[in-house]
Amino acid sequence: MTPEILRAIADSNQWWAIGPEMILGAAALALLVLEILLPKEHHRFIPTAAIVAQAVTLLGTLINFQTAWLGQETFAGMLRHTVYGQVARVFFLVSSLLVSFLATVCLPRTRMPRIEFYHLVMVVTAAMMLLAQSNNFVMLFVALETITIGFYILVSYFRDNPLSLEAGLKYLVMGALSSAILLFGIVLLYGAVGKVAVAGQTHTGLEFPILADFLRANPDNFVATVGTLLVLAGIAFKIGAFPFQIWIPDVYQGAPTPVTAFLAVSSKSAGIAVLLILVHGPLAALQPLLGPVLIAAAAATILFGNLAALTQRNAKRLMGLSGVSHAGYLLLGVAASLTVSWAIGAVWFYLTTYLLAAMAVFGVMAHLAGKDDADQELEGYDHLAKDSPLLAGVLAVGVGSLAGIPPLAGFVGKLLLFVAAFQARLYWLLAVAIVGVVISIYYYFGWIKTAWFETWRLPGAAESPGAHPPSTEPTLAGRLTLGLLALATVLLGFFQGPLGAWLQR
Amino acid sequence: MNAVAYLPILVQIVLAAVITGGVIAASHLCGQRARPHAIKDSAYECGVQSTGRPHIRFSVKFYVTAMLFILFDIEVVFLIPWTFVYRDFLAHHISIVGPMLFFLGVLVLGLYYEIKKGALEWER
Repeated sequence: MTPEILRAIADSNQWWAIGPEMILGAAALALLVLEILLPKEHHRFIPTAAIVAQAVTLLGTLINFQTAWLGQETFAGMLRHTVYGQVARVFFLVSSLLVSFLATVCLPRTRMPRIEFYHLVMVVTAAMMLLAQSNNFVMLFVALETITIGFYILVSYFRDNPLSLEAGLKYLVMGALSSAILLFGIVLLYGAVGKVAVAGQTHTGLEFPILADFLRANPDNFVATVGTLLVLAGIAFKIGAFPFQIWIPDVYQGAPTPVTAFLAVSSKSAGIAVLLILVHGPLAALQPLLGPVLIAAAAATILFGNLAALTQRNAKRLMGLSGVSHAGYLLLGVAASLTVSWAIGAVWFYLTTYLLAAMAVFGVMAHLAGKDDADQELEGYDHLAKDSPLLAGVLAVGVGSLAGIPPLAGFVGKLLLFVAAFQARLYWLLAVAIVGVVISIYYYFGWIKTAWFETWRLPGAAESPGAHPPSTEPTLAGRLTLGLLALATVLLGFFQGPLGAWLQR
Repeated sequence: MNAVAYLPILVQIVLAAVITGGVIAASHLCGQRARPHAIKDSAYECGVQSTGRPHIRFSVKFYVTAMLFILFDIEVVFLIPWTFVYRDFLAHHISIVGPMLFFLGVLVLGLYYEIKKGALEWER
């Protein structure tokens, strides 16, 4: 290699460009050091330190939102910094802050080690932030594996609970399978680009721009088509899209509530972020193939998620299966974004509303969960409005937003996606999505009804067996967080503010 | 590029399936089989009734050690490509020591954490 190339490679290592990830990773390591150095009685301050570190990182990212590296590639083309990458960074940081908050509610109920949980959440979040900016299949895969391996540990974190162990095992098997499928697809794409005697072939087929050029020159390459489909299948596993959603209910039920929230919000969004990057970057030339695949997957996912959630009586399984349908709506947005450019913004707006609403609901679930974290039947929500009006109110707002009831943020999110789908002329898919929303109102409102209205019983019949007051009374910080989440959900329904302006660009 | 070029792979898969199925079927059809008998089917070891479980259970300590070995082994693997390009970069006065020192620092931190947590204490 010539000195110029070496120097260019060395110069492209802009460490400050990945400042938030570096700070988050260093803070995660510092937590472990603190745990060793501090005496036992001071350990209860470490979760606070973790939350403060994440808040500082979030603040720094927000202040430096318009970084000097926007639109540039760093680390020899491994990363590409875009506005959407910045949005993803903020999104994942907010999500991990809320997951850490849920952990402060749930973890003290068990005898499991606490510090490692925050460490893992922070490392996984840093990997997600890198994933949303990756510009090379090696970077993409390494970041994705960091996330997946972190989740293997997190899902089975309550290891004295058989359901948590079962969930961990299922996630391990399914995660490994999906990683293998994704890797196989990447290898096929790499092989197609690297094949001699095809126009536009090179030896470095892992970079997204080079791959995009190759696919533009050979859009009907057989190997590349198979590789693309396998990559899509691998990502569909991660977001729980239709033929690959089989692991969702058991894993969501068995995982500790904070991890369920982390899986539902961050992991799904990471998959969608990657999908957006791929569909608009390297695979853009394969639109005739991607369109039908995405539309079919979106329709099947919406219908399956909503129909399967109808009969669920466990709150965590219900959130998991309704989360599948939300992945379907998001896929609808991705499919629309192939022709309507502002649909990418609509997808991110939907993810934001989903983050706020789902975290509010998971926050209520975390406070209500008893000794057995997996046992959160809907019967446990009886009399909730009487026992704890605040939790019941937050639950109603969160669930209402997930269902897409007009004044709330979820409605605006769905509306934007549906308008995008309309403009993209996806009429059939739009019809399926609207049917899905109507179905979802049944089970979402059943949940609200359990919490707010007396269940009629025969006179003299025993009380509902599952009903119990919140096992953890929300602390002041907890009330504030839950209240803010509900407030943001209501406000975002009326006033989209800078987000709305940003959407219209 | 068309699908016909991948015909050999299809042939390979079909061959593998046919041969595997053929061998199993042949052993079923032609193989010697005695009538099932409780004593004949029982586990037999030097004429003595076998005792204990067929699978020996290892202490979890072995797994912890094996896992730590794999961890540090893989981390050393990352050092090898670095040593290959290090001389090239050094010849042109481009310093790439800093990031690697950071990486090694994280490794040392991990080792320290592991010792403090007692993962290397065999007798506990």
